[in-house]
Amino acid sequence: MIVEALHREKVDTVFGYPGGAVIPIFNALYDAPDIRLVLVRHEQAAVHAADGYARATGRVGVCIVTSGPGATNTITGLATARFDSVPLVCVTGQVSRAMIGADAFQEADTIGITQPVTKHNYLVMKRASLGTMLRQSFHIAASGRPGPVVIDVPKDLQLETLDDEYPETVEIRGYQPAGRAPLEQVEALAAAISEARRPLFFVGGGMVIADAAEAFDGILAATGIPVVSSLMGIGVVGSSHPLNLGMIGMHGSIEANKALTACDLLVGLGVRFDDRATGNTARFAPEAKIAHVDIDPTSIGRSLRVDIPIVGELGLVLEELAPLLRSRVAPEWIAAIEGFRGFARGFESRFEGAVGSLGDSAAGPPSPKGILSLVNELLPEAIVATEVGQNQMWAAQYLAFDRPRRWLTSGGLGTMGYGFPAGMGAQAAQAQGDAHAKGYALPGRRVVVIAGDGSFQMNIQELATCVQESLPLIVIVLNNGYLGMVRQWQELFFERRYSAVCLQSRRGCDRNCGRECAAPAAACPPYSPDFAAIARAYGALGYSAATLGEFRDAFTAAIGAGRPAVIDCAIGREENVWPIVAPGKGNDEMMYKGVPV
Amino acid sequence: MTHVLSLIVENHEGVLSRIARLFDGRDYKLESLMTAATDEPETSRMTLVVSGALAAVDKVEKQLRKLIDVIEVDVVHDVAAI
Repeated sequence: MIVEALHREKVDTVFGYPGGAVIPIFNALYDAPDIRLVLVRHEQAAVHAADGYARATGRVGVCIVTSGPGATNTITGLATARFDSVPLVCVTGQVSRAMIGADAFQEADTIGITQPVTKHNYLVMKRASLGTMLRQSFHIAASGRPGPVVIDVPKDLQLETLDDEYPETVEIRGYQPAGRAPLEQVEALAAAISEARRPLFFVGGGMVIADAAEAFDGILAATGIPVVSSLMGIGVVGSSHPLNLGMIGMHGSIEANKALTACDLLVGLGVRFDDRATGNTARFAPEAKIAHVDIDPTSIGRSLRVDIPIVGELGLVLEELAPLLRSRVAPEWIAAIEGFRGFARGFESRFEGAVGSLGDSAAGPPSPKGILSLVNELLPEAIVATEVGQNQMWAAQYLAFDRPRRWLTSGGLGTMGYGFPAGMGAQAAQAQGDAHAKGYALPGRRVVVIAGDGSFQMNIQELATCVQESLPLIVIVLNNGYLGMVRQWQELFFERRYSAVCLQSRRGCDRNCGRECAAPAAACPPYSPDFAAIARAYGALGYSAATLGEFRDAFTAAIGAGRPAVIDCAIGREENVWPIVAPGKGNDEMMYKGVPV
Repeated sequence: MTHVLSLIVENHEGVLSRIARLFDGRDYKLESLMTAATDEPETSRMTLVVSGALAAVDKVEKQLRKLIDVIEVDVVHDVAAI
């Protein structure tokens, strides 16, 4: 029945790891050669891979793991997917029904443990319920605000045969995801937009999920209203779109945060008003009325006061909103926006060529900006998955995207170890062609993973999976020998007391090196491990790049080779992410290279 | 303030803990919870007595409605006695 369900739900790829309690399921998959079964090296990676597959294609990602430790290893992956509203179905094996609660071998209370990190979960206790529960799992995962669903299947039940059908339809009494919003609410939003003198759109991941980017482009063209995005909303509006001011928040662009502070109406579309985006909420868009459109009623008004709340499916709301918007935005506001842009470029240019700047010299270490600009140049259509930390913020700032579903990043949970396996899942999806692709799926594209030297090591074992599955993704390690984001905070907010962030130190090192040594790199012990050698040991391609020129050569070679590749880039050790809004500060209190903006 | 929330829920695995969990570490408190069979074998009625500000209880109501196993929610606000 489980394999039947996979066929009926048109699942072409499953990420899994077998074990005692799921052998019957894997036994059935043995006879389903049309389903690509990707054997990962850790269950966490199976969930992240299914997540990357789902984000890149818009389809439900599927993973199958065993009971006990198999199930508990999925928790981080499930929590990541839940936070970022990613549709997943995770089938977990369970011990036989008679053994549940008896502390049986490899038993865990899977539905108890996964309850807070899933949209919903099921423990199947009757064989006759299996089909219905599977059908409901796929429906719940994909509809409304999507999310992960766990279905826990006892082993003895997997062995029970029953001549039943996979249900055609699904009916769940307690579950009616929002559809159309009441028309008068949409009219109220349209009126507020028409009346506003300084309106601003704020788009988030919900716009990606709703596949609403095209409808939104039409609204932008008709109204000329500028737009900012959250981390998750990157790609909803093209990076080079003249109305796109970029990302807001802690590491947002100067012009986006300035526009936010100046606007008199902020229209949030599929956003959560997350604390990293809002900064100090008392100083967030202080002059603005706030409108918030979201499919999830519990996300509205959660972190700040909302003047115009609208619960509805974004595609439908925008469809109704578009014809109601007739007037164009006031030229004074556009002039002000151009002023913010000019100010930002002028401010940033003051630091060009200064010590610690992002400039690249032929012999010096490559800068994150230089590396990421080459990714834009040499693989302009790539799907990009990131890890979490400085690498993620640089990627958000410097990579260019023309459309949604090219940008895979753990926004809510901020999971180090996400990017590499998620990129692997997305790359597996590219091999499947577009038979079932939906919305913005991009078959046949290369996947690039932007990693840090810390986060890459959290799931580095998946190099084996990539080699085994011939997945030609390219991992770019921005290696500064530190857990860089924490080090940056320690530098800026904790008097350079570098506690447990150096990945190069040895037991004999001076623990005050961050405070007393201005340029520690020269005398530091060698970095461990050698990522290029590790990649080669796994059977992938491995490169090391100490300059931007070396990076260009390695990246070009990796693109041409069409095999899994790792490029270890030795970037400046104390390179920081700018601008930054310090914790507790408002978005109007940015710092750029240590100087207040 | 005390509020009464009356729910009809599916008799699925985990439904009770799912509901009880909504009260962990929040600014509203679960004073009592009673569960009873209904005339339909698939469902139960749960009666929750909750103390907290009106806005806080509105939040818990939204969260309850979001639960897939919760079929109906009726709220009586600010009751003096049950």
